[in-house]
Amino acid sequence: VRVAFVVQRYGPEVVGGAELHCRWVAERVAERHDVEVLTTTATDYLSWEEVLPAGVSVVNGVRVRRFPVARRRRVETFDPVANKVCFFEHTDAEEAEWLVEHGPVCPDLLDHLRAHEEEYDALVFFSYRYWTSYFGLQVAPAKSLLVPTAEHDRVLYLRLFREFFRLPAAIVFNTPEERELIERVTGNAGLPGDVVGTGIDRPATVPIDEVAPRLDLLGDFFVYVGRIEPEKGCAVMIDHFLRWQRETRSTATLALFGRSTMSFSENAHVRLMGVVSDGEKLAAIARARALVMPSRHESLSMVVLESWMMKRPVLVNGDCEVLRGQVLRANGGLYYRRYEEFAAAMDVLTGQPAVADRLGAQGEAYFQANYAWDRILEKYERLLARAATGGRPR
Amino acid sequence: MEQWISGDGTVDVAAIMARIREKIRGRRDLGLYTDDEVLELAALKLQAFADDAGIDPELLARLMADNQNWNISPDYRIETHRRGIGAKAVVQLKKLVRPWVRLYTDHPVSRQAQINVYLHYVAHNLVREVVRLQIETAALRNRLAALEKEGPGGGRG
Repeated sequence: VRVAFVVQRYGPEVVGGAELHCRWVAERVAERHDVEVLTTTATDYLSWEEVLPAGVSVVNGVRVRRFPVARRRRVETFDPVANKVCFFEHTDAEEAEWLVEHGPVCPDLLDHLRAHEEEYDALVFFSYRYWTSYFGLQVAPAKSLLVPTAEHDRVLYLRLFREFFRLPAAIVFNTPEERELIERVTGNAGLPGDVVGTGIDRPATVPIDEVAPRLDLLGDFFVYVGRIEPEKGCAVMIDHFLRWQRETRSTATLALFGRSTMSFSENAHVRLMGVVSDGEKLAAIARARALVMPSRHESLSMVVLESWMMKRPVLVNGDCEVLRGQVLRANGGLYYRRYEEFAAAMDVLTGQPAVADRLGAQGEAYFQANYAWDRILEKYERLLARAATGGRPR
Repeated sequence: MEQWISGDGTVDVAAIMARIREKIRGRRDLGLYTDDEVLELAALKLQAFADDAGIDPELLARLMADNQNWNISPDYRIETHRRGIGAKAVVQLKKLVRPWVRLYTDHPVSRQAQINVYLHYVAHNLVREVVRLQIETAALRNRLAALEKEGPGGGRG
């Protein structure tokens, strides 16, 4: 099968859950099929600045065709229209304007799809909210799969996406909660597709015994991995952790791995570890008491899966239906909705290491049963075959 | 130490969460307030402030809701109290003028809407913290009074 993956950004230099998800799936599918990735020259979604050269290249064995972005994203024009369509009554024209401002506007990619659509048996679009997916998918919807990576935010409520979700041959959902959310918010019951998610690539070397002492992570510690910003729930998480630490006089540390865009006072108990390699990140998780995931908006938390892969439990924000559902299905951690639950969960995880270890082991069993690459690729095979036959199940 | 691991070696997350919630409810019996109760008390206080300020009860209800439907928007509905042809003419005229008006009003109104959201958030959180501190102060005062009653060397001897 000849498959084109269409995604807003692509490459090892790109930071982003959906983009990494796409790259991992494309690389795995490329082991069995003729895969080409159609993407932009941008690496930063806040500016869509052209960084990589346009044209064809090969990334980790996958052919990548990059197209120039026609316009940059500018805060002065994007923020007002985003504010308007997300929080106020607005017109369809304003939604269309939002889509253009959101970008990445890439007419050459669209022209390529229109001209060469027949050369692909199936098209796989990642992230519903981008210009490339919205217009690209409409070129040949009957042979298109959509991986929405939808979160429960205001964008999903935009009218322009109601009809859009009915177009693809099938939708590749990350979790049952994402499927329920999309069907409910867009008023589209019974959308065709399957809950798939993604596997996790484990680096060749994970220096479990070496990383924690080298980073001076001694004693009990919890880890957070991802962008360190208030929108991800980090401010509340740090506040809760310090309050719990003061109340219990715990010596535990919260280690934050990732790039920080918020200011906070580092101290002996909350430490900014910065960006580390994937192997080091997994090694730190493996030695932690648990991974904390405070985000309210997730379509599939890959770090939660990574934590389970390393047999460690997770403590997640229970206001996020996806995370709560994952934790309950896996029996792989605890969740909280407010400080008291956070504190009680921390007490259990620190006070009863055997319980924490057991939760981690249960998470790992769930991960192997549902997110091992064989299972993921089996589902993709079925869905790609469906797309290749114009949306009819084979 | 509570027993969370069942006989077959598994841990049931739903059961742990139920026990955690049960324990939190139990704290009420000890005079300790949950976050939800603090929220309820803070809402009462905000309501009292609004009553004092003489705010329209309908607006207050919207301010207390979990959305931002109370906020201003650059959009506005064009209406007139007139009837007949005159009304149509007035509406048409207003529609004609609106794009020019909005050219100057959209930006400041949008900015003000964002400031409103921020101030609303700050005010609600400050009131919540004040309520929490008042509860803590009352608890400490009661404890102090109890200790004073016991007198020096009283109690445990």
